[in-house]
Amino acid sequence: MSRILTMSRAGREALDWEMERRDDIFCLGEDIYKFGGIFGTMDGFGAKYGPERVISTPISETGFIGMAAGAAMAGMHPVIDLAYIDFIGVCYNVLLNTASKTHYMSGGAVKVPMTLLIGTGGGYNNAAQHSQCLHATVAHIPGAKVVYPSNAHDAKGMLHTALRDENFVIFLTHKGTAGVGWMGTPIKTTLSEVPDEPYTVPFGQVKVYREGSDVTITGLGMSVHESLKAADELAKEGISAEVVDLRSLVPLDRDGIFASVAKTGRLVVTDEDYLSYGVSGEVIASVVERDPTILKKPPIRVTTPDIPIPFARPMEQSILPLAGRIADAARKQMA
Amino acid sequence: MSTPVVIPADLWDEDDKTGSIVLWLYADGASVKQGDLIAEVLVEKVTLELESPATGTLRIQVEPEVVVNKGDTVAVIE
Repeated sequence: MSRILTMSRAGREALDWEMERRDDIFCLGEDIYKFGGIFGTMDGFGAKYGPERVISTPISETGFIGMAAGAAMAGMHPVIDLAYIDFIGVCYNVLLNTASKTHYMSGGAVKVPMTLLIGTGGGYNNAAQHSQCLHATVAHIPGAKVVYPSNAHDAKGMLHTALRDENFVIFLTHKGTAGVGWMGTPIKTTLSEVPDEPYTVPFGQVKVYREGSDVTITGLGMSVHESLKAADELAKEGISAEVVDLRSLVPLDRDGIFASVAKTGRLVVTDEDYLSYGVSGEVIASVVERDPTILKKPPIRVTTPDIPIPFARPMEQSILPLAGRIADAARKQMA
Repeated sequence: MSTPVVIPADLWDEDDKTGSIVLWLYADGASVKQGDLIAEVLVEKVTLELESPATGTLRIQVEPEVVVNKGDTVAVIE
């Protein structure tokens, strides 16, 4: 039996299923015991699992991420709700040097099984300190896996995979894709038919959302859905766009990216993170390092520019990688 | 025989507030069981849950993003 679910509900179902069967999993984060976290991932878990397994923390990310890493090394599997990635700075040392390095530095003797849930992204007028993506900042760290589902089916399957992983997984969700009430009506393409039964979606495989032959558009998180909108517009003009969801940043499916671009010969890379030193450059490198001769045109990046994200709606909308800018980039590729 | 799916009077507190369907968890014409969660209803940025009052075939009458009030029939279970 399957139902149409939001990403928030689908992820909650995976976490609930694993918690029912495994005593090693516990939840940590701000406002999770009564409120279930800002994305509802742990909605109702306080009443169901009690205060020892659903721990509401003070606003002290440095403290509770460190506590989680220690608990993971001692044999537990903490699931941390970090709400917004904008606050990653205050717990960066644990991510950078402890959670992601201890397995390697102990010669494989100590594992750090922990799942860090983080919301990313803007588009809802929350200004420069609550709208960032910053996924490149975490994907840059060797030793951590970083995944980024964009729909409910992948959210459930990838969270099961994360919770069964023996080491550190950073699980990102763009706030606008989660399907929570305070963000408004869910985007249709984020909703999926989700089976009742548990299933896993492996890390490190792109998903071709929509097949096309003229131009490859890669995206992740929200930019997948903007790319799909752009592909609809382009189809009306006779341009066949292939939309590829990266889904997983570490490991990154470079073969999958290359295969799509080898087919179309044209590449538009969309990314809501900042332009420079980011995932968008990495996607292009994945193609040109292997064989630049498959490209009919130089690739184009459609990203947020290297500026603090504006609060004012018209200004923010003008800098985000929305469907109009993506479609324009694809048209340039075809010109 | 068919059973209407009605927005319950106690789904939210204030009588003067309106809501809207956020999403139907099943497609029109799908089989549902009594007690299944079938829709999310948004009221003042809070998401509430609507359960199926009967077992049968879901016939959706009100699409998402349309204003609904307490007591409104939003679907029928045939």
